Amino acid sequence: MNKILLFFALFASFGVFSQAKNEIVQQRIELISEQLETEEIDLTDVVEQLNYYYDNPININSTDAEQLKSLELLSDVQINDALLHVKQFGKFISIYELQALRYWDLQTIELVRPFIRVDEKLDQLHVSLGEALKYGKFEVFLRYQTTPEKKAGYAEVPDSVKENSSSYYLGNDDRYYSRLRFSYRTNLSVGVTAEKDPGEQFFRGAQKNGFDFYSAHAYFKGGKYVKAVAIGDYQVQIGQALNLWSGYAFGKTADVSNIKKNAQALRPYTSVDENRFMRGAAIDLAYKKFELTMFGSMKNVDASIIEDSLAEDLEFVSSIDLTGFHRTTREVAKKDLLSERIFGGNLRYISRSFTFGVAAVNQSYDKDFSKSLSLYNQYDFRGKQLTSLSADYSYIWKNFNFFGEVSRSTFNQSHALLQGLIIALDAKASLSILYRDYGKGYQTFYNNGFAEGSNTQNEKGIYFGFRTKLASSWTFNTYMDVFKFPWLKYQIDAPSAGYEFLSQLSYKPNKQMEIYGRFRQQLRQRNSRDVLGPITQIEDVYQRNYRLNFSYQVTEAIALKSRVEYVTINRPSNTPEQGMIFTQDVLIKPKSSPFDLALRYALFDTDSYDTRLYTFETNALYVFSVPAYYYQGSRAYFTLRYSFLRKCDLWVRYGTFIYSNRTSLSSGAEEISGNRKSDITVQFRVTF
Amino acid sequence: MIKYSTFFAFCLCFSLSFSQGWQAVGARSLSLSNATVCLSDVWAFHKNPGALAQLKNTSAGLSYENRFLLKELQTQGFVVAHPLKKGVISLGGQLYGQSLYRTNRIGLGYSMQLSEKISAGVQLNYQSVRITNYGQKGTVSAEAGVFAKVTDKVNFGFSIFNINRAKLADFQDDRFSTIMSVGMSYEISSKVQVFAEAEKEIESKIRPKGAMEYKVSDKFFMRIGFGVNPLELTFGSGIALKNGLKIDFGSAWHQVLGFSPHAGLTFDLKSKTNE
Repeated sequence: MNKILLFFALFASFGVFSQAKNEIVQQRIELISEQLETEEIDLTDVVEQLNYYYDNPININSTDAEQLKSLELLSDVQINDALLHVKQFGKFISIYELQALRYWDLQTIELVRPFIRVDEKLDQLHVSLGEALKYGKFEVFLRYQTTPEKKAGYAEVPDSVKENSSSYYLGNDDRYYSRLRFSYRTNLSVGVTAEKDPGEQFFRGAQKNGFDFYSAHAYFKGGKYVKAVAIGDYQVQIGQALNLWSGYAFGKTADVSNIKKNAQALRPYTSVDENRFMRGAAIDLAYKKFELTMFGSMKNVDASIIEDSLAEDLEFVSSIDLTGFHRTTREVAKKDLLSERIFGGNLRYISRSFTFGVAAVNQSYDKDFSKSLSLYNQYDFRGKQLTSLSADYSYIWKNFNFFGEVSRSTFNQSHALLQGLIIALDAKASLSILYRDYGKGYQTFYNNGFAEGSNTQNEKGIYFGFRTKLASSWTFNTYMDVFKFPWLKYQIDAPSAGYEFLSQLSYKPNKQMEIYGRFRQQLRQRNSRDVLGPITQIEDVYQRNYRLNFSYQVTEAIALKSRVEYVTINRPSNTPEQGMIFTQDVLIKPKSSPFDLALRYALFDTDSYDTRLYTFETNALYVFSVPAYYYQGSRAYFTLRYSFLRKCDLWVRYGTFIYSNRTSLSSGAEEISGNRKSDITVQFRVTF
Repeated sequence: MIKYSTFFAFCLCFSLSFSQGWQAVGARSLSLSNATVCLSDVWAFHKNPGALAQLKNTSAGLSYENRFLLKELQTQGFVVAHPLKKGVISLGGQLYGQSLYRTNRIGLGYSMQLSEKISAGVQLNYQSVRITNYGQKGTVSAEAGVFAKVTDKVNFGFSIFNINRAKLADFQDDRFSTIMSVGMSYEISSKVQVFAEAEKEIESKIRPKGAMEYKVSDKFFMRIGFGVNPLELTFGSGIALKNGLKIDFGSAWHQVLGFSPHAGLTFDLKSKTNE
């Protein structure tokens, strides 16, 4: 009886399903980005993928593990569960049959429902190039962003002064972005992206070619033996990201069962991060259960070069600049001075429940890299080249998913190891365990392993995550991550240790409303601010975050979101500090109107920059903003989207910070006099 | 160096586990970060005498723990409990330390069902501390606990050790530690049970703990847990054999001091008829 009721309840909830695409994708992005706690974030790939699957849901009857994994919403055990079901009982007849799956709870079904469909007709997995060219679509993006307030770096000074100083920018304050892309499903993508950062010149001076950064790619996926080919800019992902991983990777999020990385061997590159990608050519071959990816990349990166005064042709690199900014003469002078070459291969055996791969990557610079030696960085990469070898696996046994990777780098002869286990305890609960041990001298150029620190290096730790459904509308998530850094780190003058604990309780009585409370406690060790004598001691720094979040879909057109977050930081060498934000969002999306509107008003009050709080802000499509709110003041913005002529979209956004206890903001060239800082974004998209 | 580290571990051990007189006992409980004030097997003798009233069969067990793999910091424990017509009578004890420093405890307890939903237990212990060149001191202490079935799936419990705050020495008013634990358990499904507990020793920071037990099959169990102040993670497994014998083993892990393995045997005399 209960089951029948449940069935009808589910049916009814599917019936009133009305959450807009943007909303679902945005929730996902919010979850990921807020945990990263950084303002510079580019999740274009993730959004693109989800948007695509929203418009073209995956047919669960004719899909493979790779495609389901690329959603990043399902665990491997759940994927295996669905694939096994098709194999054992035949095709799904209706979407409601998903409930029969042992490890799919209602929450999971709700989450993936927009991205999945059930169709008797099997889709064609292999797509020919001709077909792709015939049915493909063009998409053009033009974007303009600026800050109306004058920054010190843009002061009107003679050109000669600008050229000889690094406190003035050569170009204007605007950011321009344009992108042209031709694509068919996820199978074909050809595109060009161009970007000018604020302060960079445009068709003038150092930027004779117009934009500062250009990226182009041609990518095709869908052959039987030649699974994928990429030319131009692309991304390569291997195993659990210990060896090589370009692009974004999931880390610790409140979604505790998502600790495993699902590598997508080859993908086109469409973001504007000027460093973390491959430039060259790559191919992915398949034969029966084996796959082989081979790739080569050669690109220039920004660097500071010091010439050896004794030998004329000897020069070495003292630092690599990853910001991608070329705003001052000094920054322009660094541009593209170092040539980076990466090539390698990744051979994989793939079956439904077992995957095993080996990879070898060689990475080199054309000049000696020799950053100045300090105690903390003495194990960092120096020299010209290194080779890394890695092996990774994933194995599903019943409801257990074991996975791991081990990688060894020739530099320092050191290694990194990761071992994980995700157990779908039953449909209601799942447990994740992850252990990692990254050597203090472990180095590769682009890695992104699960870590507390920013690099896959000098870290040991163990992570436990647990998620459960307590009652029909209550969900509880918690994780505990304990880590230690065996060697010193930047501004931590001793081996250190710490932990991070998070607990979240959500109450979602219906589709329209959700309330969650979250507590997070972090212990990290940092240099004491009391410096007594020649040795700086480290001390325990406790950070506690308390958050209450409320979201409510009032009508089909109007949604409200409120949040209160409070943070405290306690450390012996400083008085306790605290901070809080209070935000209110209103999202208006009338169904028949071409307009939709997002509004926010927020107040914040923090004692310092340390107690800053990050929150996700709605922005134009593919623009990501997760700014930190700090000091005292207010924040307001609106984002308006107007869709017209069926094929065109226009976004207009204006946001402003008004601080109550400041007379100037930022410092150096970024300084703004006054207490207001605003931002304007205008974006136009046309698809045809 | 070894001496230094031993000393260090020894000092820390007092803050990590409990101080004078009490050590967590029972392998299953140790795998669950000792957040087991709501666990009602025979080892409840060492954690919450109130929960022991739930026992249906005569049971006995042995347990062993070695903190930080140091030979000076070993704990041995035992327990026997027998259900009477009304209530459960129990006997248990523990030994901790080595020749230089040793604590012993032996106790007799009685637990009974007060109503359908609630049970309580009391225990009297004799415990002693012996330190080479300083002599030996023994005293009597009382402990009590309550266990309540809130619903079919939710249990609540609390227990107090050393209610009378037994004195060890007049010097600086040195007393055996008094510990209070309050906790809950929740059965998420027939396979998964979670535990949450707060534990307070008079002179230490309050210690929040969480744990989970997963029944992989009828014979095999997996357990994990954590506690903070100080931080410790625990994990372990259990095997239940047909003849009523249960074997449990696992370890705790501390960031600086490393692993503290534990193991135990529990024998359930009438488990066959029970099942």
